[in-house]
Amino acid sequence: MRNRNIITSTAIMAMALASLSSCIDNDYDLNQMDGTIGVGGTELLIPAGGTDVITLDDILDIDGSDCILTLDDGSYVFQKTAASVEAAHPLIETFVVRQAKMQEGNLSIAGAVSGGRLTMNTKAQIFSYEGVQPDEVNSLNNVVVDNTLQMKFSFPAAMSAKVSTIQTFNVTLPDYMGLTNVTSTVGNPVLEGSVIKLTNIPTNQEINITAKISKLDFSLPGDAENYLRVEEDDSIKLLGDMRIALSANAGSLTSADLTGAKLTSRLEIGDFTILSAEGTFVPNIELTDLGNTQITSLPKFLSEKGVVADLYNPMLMLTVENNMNVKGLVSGTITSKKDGSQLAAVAINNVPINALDTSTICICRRADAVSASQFDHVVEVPTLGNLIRTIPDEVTFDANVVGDKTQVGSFNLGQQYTITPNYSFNSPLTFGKDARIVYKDTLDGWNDDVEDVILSDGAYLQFNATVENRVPAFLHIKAKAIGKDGLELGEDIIKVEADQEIKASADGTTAVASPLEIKIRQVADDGLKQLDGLILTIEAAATGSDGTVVEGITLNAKKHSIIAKDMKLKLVGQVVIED
Amino acid sequence: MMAISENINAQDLKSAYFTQDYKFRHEMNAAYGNDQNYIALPAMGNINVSTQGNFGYQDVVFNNPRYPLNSDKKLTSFMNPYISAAEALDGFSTGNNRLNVDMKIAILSAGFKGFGGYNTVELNARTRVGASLPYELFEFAKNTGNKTYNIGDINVGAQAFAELAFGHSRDINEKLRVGAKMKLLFGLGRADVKIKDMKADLADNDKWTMQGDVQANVSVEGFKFKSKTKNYEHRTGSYEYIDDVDVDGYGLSGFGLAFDLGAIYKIDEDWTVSAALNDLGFISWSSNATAINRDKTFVFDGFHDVSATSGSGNRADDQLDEYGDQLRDFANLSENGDKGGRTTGIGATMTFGVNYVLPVYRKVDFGLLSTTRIDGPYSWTEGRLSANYSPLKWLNGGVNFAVNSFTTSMGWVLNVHPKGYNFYIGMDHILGKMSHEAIPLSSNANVSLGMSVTF
Repeated sequence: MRNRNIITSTAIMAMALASLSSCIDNDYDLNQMDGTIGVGGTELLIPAGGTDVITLDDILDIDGSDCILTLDDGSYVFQKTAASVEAAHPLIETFVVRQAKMQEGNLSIAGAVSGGRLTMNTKAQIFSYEGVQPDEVNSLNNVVVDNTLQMKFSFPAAMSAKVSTIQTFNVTLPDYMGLTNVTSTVGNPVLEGSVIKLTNIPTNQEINITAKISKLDFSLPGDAENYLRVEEDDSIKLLGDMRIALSANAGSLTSADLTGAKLTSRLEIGDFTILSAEGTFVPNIELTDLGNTQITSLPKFLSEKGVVADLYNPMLMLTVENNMNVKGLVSGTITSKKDGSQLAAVAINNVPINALDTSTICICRRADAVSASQFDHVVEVPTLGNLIRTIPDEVTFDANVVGDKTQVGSFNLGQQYTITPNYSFNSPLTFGKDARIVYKDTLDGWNDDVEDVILSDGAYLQFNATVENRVPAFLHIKAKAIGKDGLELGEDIIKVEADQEIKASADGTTAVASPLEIKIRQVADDGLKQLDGLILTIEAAATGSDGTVVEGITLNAKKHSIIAKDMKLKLVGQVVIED
Repeated sequence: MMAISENINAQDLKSAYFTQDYKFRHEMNAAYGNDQNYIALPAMGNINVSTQGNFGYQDVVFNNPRYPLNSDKKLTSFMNPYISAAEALDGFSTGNNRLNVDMKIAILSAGFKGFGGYNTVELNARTRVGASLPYELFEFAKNTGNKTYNIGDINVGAQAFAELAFGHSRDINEKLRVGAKMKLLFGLGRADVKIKDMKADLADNDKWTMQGDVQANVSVEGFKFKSKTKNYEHRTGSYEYIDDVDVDGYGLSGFGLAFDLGAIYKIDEDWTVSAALNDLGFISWSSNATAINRDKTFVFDGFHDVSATSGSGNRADDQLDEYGDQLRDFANLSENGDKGGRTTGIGATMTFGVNYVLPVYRKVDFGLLSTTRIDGPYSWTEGRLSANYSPLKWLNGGVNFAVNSFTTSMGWVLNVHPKGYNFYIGMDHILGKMSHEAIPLSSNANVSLGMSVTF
């Protein structure tokens, strides 16, 4: 009986234990657990705050650029100085006007006595000189010479026997001769214009008069017997005579006494070596190239695809040092090139150069936007902006510098002058209506965080902000997704919806608020896993999508800024973290 | 708000409360004695394992809707995005979601008659692991949106102790029998982690606020938190955080004392009533290693005045690092020192029973048992109606139906007690389906069994 009880109880116990094991449902096996989880719900708005004032200086990187700099007031300037060129040294050689003819001078004085007076006024000698005007001389007003005039006069004995003194003795030379330093062996010569006056001259002595000829004046009209002129064939003709006029008390002298008597005159004038000249000149200035500008390191925002450097008033600053007393003119062609191909060519005509000065010349697109008082000359060239509309890598300035033959100047012949040109671009970064700069920034390194993450069906991330813009430019914002290799992901993988325009500040001071919205949608099932970041492209343009234009305000690193406020990040749907 | 029951739940087979000659009824009511002396098989005499909760495996684990097309795994969690929030959260209680795992093993247990009554001597090992997770925590995790989640208190705890109990019961008269048990408690260890007043306020479009007061108390002999020191990412200075624990040696961590009291009153031949109050006591732990989170609040209100200039100290990265530093102080646990000891209750259980023997067929009786866990806000209660049958002199058992704070249950018990030998097995909650890892799918399960030698 006892054994039967034990057997029975053991059987019951076995059945009970068996019933426990029969409750196992192998369909519930944690090894069959898919650990995928979702984060978020229907919609989750994440506060994201706002930014500080972000100035252009914070955004635009100009480090390493050789052409963009900021001035003390923050203004951006496109500035590039051309490589210096060798100075030109124009020279006009001296030239000589040589004696062509000198008439003998033995004057009959018979008949000079009349009414108790001895008087005489007659042409004593005729002379002529000839020369050739150099090609570089366009016209002459007067020239400086260093010549000596010598005159010798002696009276016949018949006269000196009865007239011991001549009260007045005048020698008249052509008025185009500039006389100085008159000396005489007798009497005290007085020079009045081109007349040498002597008084109380003893007749028993030879009169030796010397004078310096320091100038020849081409500007006087002259007459048939006395003239100095340049013929059309550039020959220089000098024709003149020397006149003598005397007056004395005849005393006992009679006309009969003077029969056959002659007053001897000897005039000697050397060749005229022209030392300097006043007139108009066209010296040969061997200056065909004002310099070459190489632009090798542009900041990225000016070198990205799509940049249009339509600057409101590009300026080319030309300085020319000129120690000639002759004004000049610069003409030429400025050519911009990129990768060896010509971008644009702009003709510059007749830019004036001051004489004896360093001329500062502003060649610009809009003269009315330039403070003219800062320059000697402001030259408006409306097409100048074409040169840098696409930023070139090389600019050349082929030029021809000539003297301004409409302007009178002076020239030291035989002297080597110096003309030194320099030019630079010095253009405020001020937008014209077609201007556009492109700023790109890459936000990457996300993949480590999202490589195991996808978005649930229909889910997306949305970023919203209100952007206050104090930049005088419309900001077109675009974004593209990139993968770990840095290359753009196709829209069949990740679609970024961000094609927005931030309105421009009309004056660069007053903020204009615009909404900004960026959506990131996963298109491919594992799109988010491939995402490593965004390439953000901001195109700053002068013209908005509605045609509004904001131009003429120089971009300023310190004053122009944006602020993003009320930033929100919204997750619509769920982020899926896969097992 | 919900919290875990920090004390030991009833770890006895309530289905057997009215089962005649079930040798361990004195565990539930100290007034019960036995007709026979017994010695339980060491460590096999009375084993009780139970899980109890109002959410469970099937509330957390779902069939994977992407299987087999997009996943090779059949199962997934409620956090799977392809399971709707409504479906995922449907299984969780909108109040507290509790889960307790209890185990009680009688290492030694013996009962014998003497001293005018019935005497018991026991050495039991009792272990409890519990967690209490508010519904809002799951909602926050599953369906995060811009609203305020008043999550409340989150509690996770475990406790283990041994009890050496001496019981005695005796008849006072023909109708009344009383009993008492004194238990010497030997604390093996206790750990409690609480996040008090947790709240996630995401309703404000401009500011998110997380708050929670994390407190960890560990009372285990030789226990130490191990910390590391790191520099803050953005702030100056450094912070300490706990990254490991160390138990150097082993020993008793605390001592305590508890009492069980019971009474049985036989009204007549058919009706009997009983009452008991168990586990009225405490354990005084000799150590209390504590850890806290330094900041009780974490506020995220976005990035302000973000600078685009490196070196400004106010870039988005800088502010993110600052938030990271704040989050470290909020989320990391750092040592708060050993407070030198603490005293914890073990919870009390109050039981009332009514038993009715069918007069026309006295092999059948019915019982109604009310069990109330008295544990402050963590109290629970249960009513259990049982029908018991004793077909043979050495065999009896019963079935029962219960409604409690967690669920409804059906239990059974089978007690085989021929002369010289006793085996019993029973369940307060019929073991339904279990996972491959033997985890009850419903989270409620109870198995109790044991063997004894009787004489």
